[in-house]
Amino acid sequence: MTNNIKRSRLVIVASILCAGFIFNQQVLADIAIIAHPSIGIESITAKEVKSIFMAKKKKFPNGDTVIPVDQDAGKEIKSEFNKKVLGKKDSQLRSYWGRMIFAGKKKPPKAIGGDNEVKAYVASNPGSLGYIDSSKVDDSVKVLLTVK
Amino acid sequence: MLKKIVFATAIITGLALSQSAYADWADKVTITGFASSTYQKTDTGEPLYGEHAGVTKDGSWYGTRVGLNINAQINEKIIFASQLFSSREEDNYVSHLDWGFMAIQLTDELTLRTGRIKYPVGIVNEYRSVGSTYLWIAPPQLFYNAEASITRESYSGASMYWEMPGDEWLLSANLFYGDDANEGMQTKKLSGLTVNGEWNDQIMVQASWFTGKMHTSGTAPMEIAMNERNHTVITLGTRINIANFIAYLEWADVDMDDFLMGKGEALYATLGYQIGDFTPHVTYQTFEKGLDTMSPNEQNMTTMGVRYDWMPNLDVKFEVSSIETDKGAGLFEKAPGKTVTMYGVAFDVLF
Repeated sequence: MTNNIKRSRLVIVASILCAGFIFNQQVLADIAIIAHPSIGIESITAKEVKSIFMAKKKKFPNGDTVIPVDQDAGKEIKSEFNKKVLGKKDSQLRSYWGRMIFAGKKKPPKAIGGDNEVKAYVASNPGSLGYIDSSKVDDSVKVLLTVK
Repeated sequence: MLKKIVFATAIITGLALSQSAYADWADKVTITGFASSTYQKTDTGEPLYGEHAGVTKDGSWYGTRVGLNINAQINEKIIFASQLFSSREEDNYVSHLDWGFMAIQLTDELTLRTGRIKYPVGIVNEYRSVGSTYLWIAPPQLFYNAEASITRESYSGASMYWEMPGDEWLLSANLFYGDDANEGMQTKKLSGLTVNGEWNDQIMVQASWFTGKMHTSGTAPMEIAMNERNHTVITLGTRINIANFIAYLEWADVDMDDFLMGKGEALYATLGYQIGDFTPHVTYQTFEKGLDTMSPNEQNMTTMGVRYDWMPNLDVKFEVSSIETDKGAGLFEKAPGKTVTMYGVAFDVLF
């Protein structure tokens, strides 16, 4: 009986610890790649987004000129975007843009704030491309890709 | 009363116009910069040459530098880019226009540049002053300093830059022509081609070739011998950054017609591994010049270092180098006659 009680207590403690671990994990948001509703494409690949945000391509797949807009440094979603879409740590991306800017070759997308600012800009500017937390998406923008 | 209204209207209109002009200017002009504070010390009284000039056992802040990059978008097709640069050299700070050129986008793939342009030979040469962009305190000196005669800081002229991006790869070619003047020597009819291939920004391969005619105005025997000689260089190199591994490998061959003192070869290899915010690395570099002459110059250098990414836009570097001087002065004014140890620390910032 005593052993059963001890075993039960151990199971309960272990369950509480596991539950605490699970609920303590940060819930990482899905990233929505958004464009102005007038954009003439229905989707875009992660590779195409990467090429645009690293200034290697200046046009959408349909040939329209693209204006990428970034989020401010320090935003968690920016680090997630850099890691999941660009495949780079923040320090690697800073080094990349340092090489491009100070060789006079390219410049990074303009950073205009957080989710709300990016959504407002993309909703008002045809040709723009940005990324926001997928939970912030509404009818003012068109989602071309969701990154999990 | 009417005068007050007119005056107030003029003030308000002026402010509105200047606000509008400011907003327009702020959209079109971007200003960025970099700075490095560098302290190095050897165990010899003989000073180092080139970027290390002035570094002895007394220690030196030589290499400390600041740069300001100003870009202006003139219209959809034309950009003006410039960089002002100030660095400590021996006892003074020297400021100059590092580069300043106009870039005209002729097509989606082709750009014409004209002005004072950063020299496109050497994997890191176009951003060699920006410490934050690489692992070392300074790019491998047996390859990148003036003594090796492999590359140069910039040139005055024009280039046609072609770039073809794919989903995971990028090909580019830079055809350039112009001239350069440096410390009593001019190189005219400087023409060359640099081609780059990149895959997924993880592997980059570069090959360069250039030639130019040297013109010297001095009366020293060496300068007279170099005058009117063709200076030709071939380089091959690669940069690899896969997962946490970082590697560089570059080789160059230098020829100056029948001026054997100028004929040389250089090579360096770097291997690093990123562990969190720390990137330890090791570099071996070797250089030889004038081997078939009475005064050959040869040097090898091994460096161990670590870069620490302390906070966003700020890194700290520590290095210790062993410089062999038994086969020539190399980077030194005069050969110290022993293996020299050099210690260095640097702080780099981007803004």
